[in-house]
Amino acid sequence: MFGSSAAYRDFEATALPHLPALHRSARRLLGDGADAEDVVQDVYLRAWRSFRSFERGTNCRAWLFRILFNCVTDRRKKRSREMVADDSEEILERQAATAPQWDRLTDAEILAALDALPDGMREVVVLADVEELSYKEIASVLEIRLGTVMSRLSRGRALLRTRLTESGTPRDIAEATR
Amino acid sequence: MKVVDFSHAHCKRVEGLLDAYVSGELLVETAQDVERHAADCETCGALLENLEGLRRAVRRAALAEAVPPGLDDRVRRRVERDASGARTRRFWLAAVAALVLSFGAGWMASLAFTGHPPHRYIANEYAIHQMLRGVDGVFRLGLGTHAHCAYYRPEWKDELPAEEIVRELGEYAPLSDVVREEAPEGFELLVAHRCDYLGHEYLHFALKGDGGLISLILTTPQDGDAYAEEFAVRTAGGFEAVGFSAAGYVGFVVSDLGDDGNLRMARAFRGRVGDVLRGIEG
Repeated sequence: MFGSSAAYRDFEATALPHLPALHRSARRLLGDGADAEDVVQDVYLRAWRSFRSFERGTNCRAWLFRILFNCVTDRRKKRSREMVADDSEEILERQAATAPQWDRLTDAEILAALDALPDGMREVVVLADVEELSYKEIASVLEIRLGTVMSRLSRGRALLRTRLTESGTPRDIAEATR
Repeated sequence: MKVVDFSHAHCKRVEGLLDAYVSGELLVETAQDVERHAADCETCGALLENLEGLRRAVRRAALAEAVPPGLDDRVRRRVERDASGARTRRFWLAAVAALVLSFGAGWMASLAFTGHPPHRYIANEYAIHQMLRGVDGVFRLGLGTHAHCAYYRPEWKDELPAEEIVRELGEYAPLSDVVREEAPEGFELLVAHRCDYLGHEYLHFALKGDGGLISLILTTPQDGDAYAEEFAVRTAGGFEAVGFSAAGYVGFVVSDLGDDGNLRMARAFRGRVGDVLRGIEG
C-alpha cells in the first residue's frame, strides 16, 4: 500500500534491495522453487517484525542471511531432509587437475553440481562464491567457526572441480557422497 | 654440500593459500606472494586459474537465475498486511484502554493513549458511529476516514508548505498537485497526509473553501472492497461520497457540495490520479 509509517519506508529501503541475493541462496539451499519463494517471504516477515532490533548502519545483508538460514533450517526440518555426511577423502583429494573448460559447461550443469553438494559445503560455497560474503560474515551467518568455513569451502570447491571436469558428471557427486 | 630444494615446500604453502586468495581473504603482502609464485610456477599457476575459473562459473550460473516475477510485490504485500494488522491492534488496544480508564484517576492515562480526554474520545466515536449507520461496505472506509480525520486531526492551517507535503507523502507528493489543479475555484489544499483507520491505510487530501470541505481519499482494496458502479454515490451525516476505482486503488470524494459537485470532481480526479499512481507504482 502506501507504507504509511516511516519505519516501513526505512525497512523497504534497507532490506528489500537484498531480495535477489536471498532468493538465489534460497534456491540453492532448498532446491525447490516454490519452497524458495515461501522462505524468502518468511524471511522478510521475520525481518520486519524484528526490524526495531536491527542496528542501523550495521551489516543488513548478513543479518538477513542469518534469518534466511534460520528459515531454511526450519523448512528442512519439516521436509526431514538430513545433512549428508562429509565426503570421503578419496573424492576430495586435490588434483593437479586438467582445468575443465569452464566456458563450455552450461549453467544448468554447474548448478546441478552445486545442488548435489552436501548441505554444509553448499551453504559455504553459495555464500562465498555467489554472494561474496567474507569468511567472517559466513561464520556469523552460519554460526560456525572460521576454520570450519575455510575447510568446508576448500572441500566444496574441490568436490565441484573434480566432478565438473570432463571425467565426471554432477550425478557422480551424489553417488560419491552416500 | 647439501642442496635444499625449497620449491616444493613453497608450492605446498601457496597451494594451501589459493582458496583464501581467490576469496580475497589474504593480507596484501601474502596475496602478492601468491601472485608472484603462481606467475613463476606452472603447476600452481594452473591450479589458481582452475580455481578462479570455477568461482566465476559458479557465480555466473547462479546469477543467471532470475527472481520470479512479482516476488518483490508479494513480499511487500505480506509485510504491509502484517504492519497494518499490528497498527489496527494497537489502535483497538488504545481504544479499550481509554474506555476502561475514562473515569477518575485514569484520565491522564487515557490522554496518553489517544491524545484526547476520554469523554471527547467517546463522543467522537459515537458521532462517527451515528454518521456511518446504514452506510455499507467500502463506503464506510471513505466516509469513516473523512469523519475520523475531521474529529481527530483538525489541522486546518492557512497554508500547507510544499516541504511538509513531501515529508508526509514522500513519492506520493505529486498527487497533491493533481488535487490542487482539479479543485473547484476558491478551494485551497490544507491537508495532505497519510492516515489509517479500520485496518486500512490512506492518502487523505482535504480542501477548504467558502463552499465547505472536500476530501479526496485513496486506499488499496482488500477482500470485499469494490464498487458496483463506475462512480458510486452514498450520503451520510450531511456528506456525500462518490467512490471510484483507479489504477487498482479505490478512491472517495467526500464533501457537502451538493449539485453533483462530488461527481464532477470524481470524474476530474480519477483519470489524473490513476496516471500518477501508475507512474509511481511502476
